[in-house]
Amino acid sequence: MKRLSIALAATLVLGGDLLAQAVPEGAQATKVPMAYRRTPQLRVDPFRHVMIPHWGLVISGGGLAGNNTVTIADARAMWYLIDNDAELVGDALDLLSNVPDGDGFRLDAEAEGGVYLGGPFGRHFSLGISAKARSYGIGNIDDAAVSLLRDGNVARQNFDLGNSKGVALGTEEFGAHGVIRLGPIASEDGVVLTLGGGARLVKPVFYYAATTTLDSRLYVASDSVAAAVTIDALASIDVDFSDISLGSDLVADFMVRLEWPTSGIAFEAMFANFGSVTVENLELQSKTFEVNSTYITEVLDSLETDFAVTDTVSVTVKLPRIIRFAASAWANRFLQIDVSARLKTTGTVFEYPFEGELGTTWRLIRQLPLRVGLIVGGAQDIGFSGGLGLETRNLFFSVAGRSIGGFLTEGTGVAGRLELGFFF
Amino acid sequence: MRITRFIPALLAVGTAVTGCEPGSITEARNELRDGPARTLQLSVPVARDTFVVDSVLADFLDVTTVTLSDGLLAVEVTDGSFGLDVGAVTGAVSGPFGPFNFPVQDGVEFVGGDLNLGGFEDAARDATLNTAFAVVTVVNEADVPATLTDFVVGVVRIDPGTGNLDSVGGQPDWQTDGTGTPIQVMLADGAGNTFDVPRSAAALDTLFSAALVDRLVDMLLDGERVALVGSGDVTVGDGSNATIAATDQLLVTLKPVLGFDFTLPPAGVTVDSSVATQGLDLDDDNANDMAARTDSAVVTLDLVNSTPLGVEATVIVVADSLLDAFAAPAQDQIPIDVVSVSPGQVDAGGRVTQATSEVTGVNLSGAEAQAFMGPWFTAGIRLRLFPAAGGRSAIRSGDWVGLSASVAIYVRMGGTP
Repeated sequence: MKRLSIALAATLVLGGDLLAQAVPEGAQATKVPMAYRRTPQLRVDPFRHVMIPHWGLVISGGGLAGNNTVTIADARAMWYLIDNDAELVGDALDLLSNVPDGDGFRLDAEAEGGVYLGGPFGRHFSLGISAKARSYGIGNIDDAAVSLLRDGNVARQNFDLGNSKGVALGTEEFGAHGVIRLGPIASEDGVVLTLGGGARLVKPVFYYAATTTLDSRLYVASDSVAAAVTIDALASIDVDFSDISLGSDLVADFMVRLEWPTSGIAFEAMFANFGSVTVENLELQSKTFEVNSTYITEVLDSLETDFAVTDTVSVTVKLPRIIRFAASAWANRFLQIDVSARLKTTGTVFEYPFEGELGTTWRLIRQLPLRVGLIVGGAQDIGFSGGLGLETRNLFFSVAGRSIGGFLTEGTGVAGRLELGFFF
Repeated sequence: MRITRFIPALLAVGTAVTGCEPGSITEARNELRDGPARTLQLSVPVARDTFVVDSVLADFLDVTTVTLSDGLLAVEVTDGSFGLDVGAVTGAVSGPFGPFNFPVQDGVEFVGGDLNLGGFEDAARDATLNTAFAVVTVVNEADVPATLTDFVVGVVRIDPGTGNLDSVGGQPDWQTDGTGTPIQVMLADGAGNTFDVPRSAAALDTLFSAALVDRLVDMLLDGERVALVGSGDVTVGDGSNATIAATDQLLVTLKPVLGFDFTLPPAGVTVDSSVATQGLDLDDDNANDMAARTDSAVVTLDLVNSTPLGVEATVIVVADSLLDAFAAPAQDQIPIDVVSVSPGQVDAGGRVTQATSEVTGVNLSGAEAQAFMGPWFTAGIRLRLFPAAGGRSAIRSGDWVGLSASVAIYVRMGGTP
């Protein structure tokens, strides 16, 4: 943090000289509010609306779902076969062949929806409040378990299931965020410093986390099948949106943005979702599956299951932090280029890999931005994004989408976001 | 909205936007096969069976088999009994009784039906006896103690014409060994020459005499009429109070037991077994698809021989659940392999000390592998036990042959269609 502070200070002092690029003559940049120069994010972005320099109401919603195996075209083909009663076991095997070696099968989902109300108090300060519902989900079937179906049991008979898990968290959130705009500093071409901060009161409404124990394993040989699998689960007993007994916690968000409007260059750092939520009144469940069979075909006959609720507990779940650094510049009269990097998220059940994005915003018409981007990294290695918006004084509309893991039908996931705002 | 409706609806919207609607089932299937080419290697059991020689031979020996203390398999000849009249000799009495001493002699005929060795008759005739003995049970029906003295049991031929025992000078014409010595064995407690039978009780002894039993069996197998005869003295009563009836007897029961080295007929002994197993339970469409995807299928047979005999196993598979796979029409039988394994290692007594085994792999075509993809398949195992070349073959009841068969099916998945 100290190094970051020094860098920021140096940038503030020297920025005017260092950032010599000027916005091209007649560029749309000079006519677009700063809020709209921030490239929309498809994940959590608490400052998205409070940056808008008008009083108003924004309704927004979006979701993201992806996996590392099944493309949209695959899914459509499978449904086509099912619709025509033509699906075969071999078709499922073909799908399984896509599960990457060593990774297992992964699912990743996130969704949010809600309303925002707020606006500016003068030139330098904006404040907004929001109410949202949000959910996170992640799932992983250990590669060893997939391997049994994908690779078979000739070369390998022991299959550990120790890293299989599925976690889902749903929350209600009530937030208040503000931004302070300072500048231009030092000169008319100087930097505009925007500091953002806020907090959200997050109330979990449901939680389910299931993990296989480390000693869970399968043994499948031609002459015997044995399985000892234990799944420990934490589960909300009831899903009741009015029940406050599940607890609530404060989550903090921060943002620093440096922008040289006349140069068309900006840098931003955002720290969001810093905090944990305590989920109370969870059942600690243990499910065991045991098989001891001579023949693989008699597994179901010998399956013994047990289910027990061993305790009622509360757990603290660290939300998936977002640490994102972004930079943008105007390349010409119409084009804005953004580069962003979201650091790897660790230390939580919701772990996300590093993700970088190169985005372009085309403003052939100032109020109608078109966005196209390329994502690298992330859970599916590559992705493509696109969107369009309508940004007027009284109406704000934005739709954005992302194809994850490939382009359109060859993607293994999709993300979408829709925003509609009315300003007074 | 139910998820089953929601997902197709969502896909329909996606299809409309992206234009990824498959034009045909083939196109849809080709889309799914666009992933990396892999091979699913699936190993499933075909059959596993253990043939315990005791049980196998029981089908051929119409006699009761027993296991001796060293595990050797032996044949029990149907027992025969004769009574030594003591009451009739001494007369009925109640009060102080005896002792009275008098000679006794009687016998019991054994007939060919008592020893039905089936296809082993020749083998048994020429067999090397490992052991042979007769279990003797003497039941004293009288309420007085009895002691047999110098009581011997031997083999005596019965004249088929008269039905009488062969005799010389009024005495039984005992069968003799190569030196002309009568083949007799004395019934005695320990090393003495007497055998005590308490009042109203039974006493047991075992007459260890391979020559006695061997001769009995040989004569039976030769179709001769033959009897085991007991002859000696008996002392009844000891002067104490007793009650004896005229019909009281000492009932002597003889049960010959024959443990021999089996030398099977040259053609061997064949036994069939069928093992029905659940298959992959694919319907016809799936089975055809899987067969088309099958690069290869390898059946591995593992035959373990823990008998002193040679073993040959013929394995077939029929795509059905059958009690007898070999009874299926020939065109339905898929021959897998014929595997032979040499006899287990034996000690000087012909007893197995270490099993031998043979593992083979047989390639099947995709069409043949389809036999394993239905709801059931039956593996037929034809096991032939045949004589070992040279050496001894002492069968123990626990001797066994194990066969385990599995099939590894290599199925293509993914890859460019």
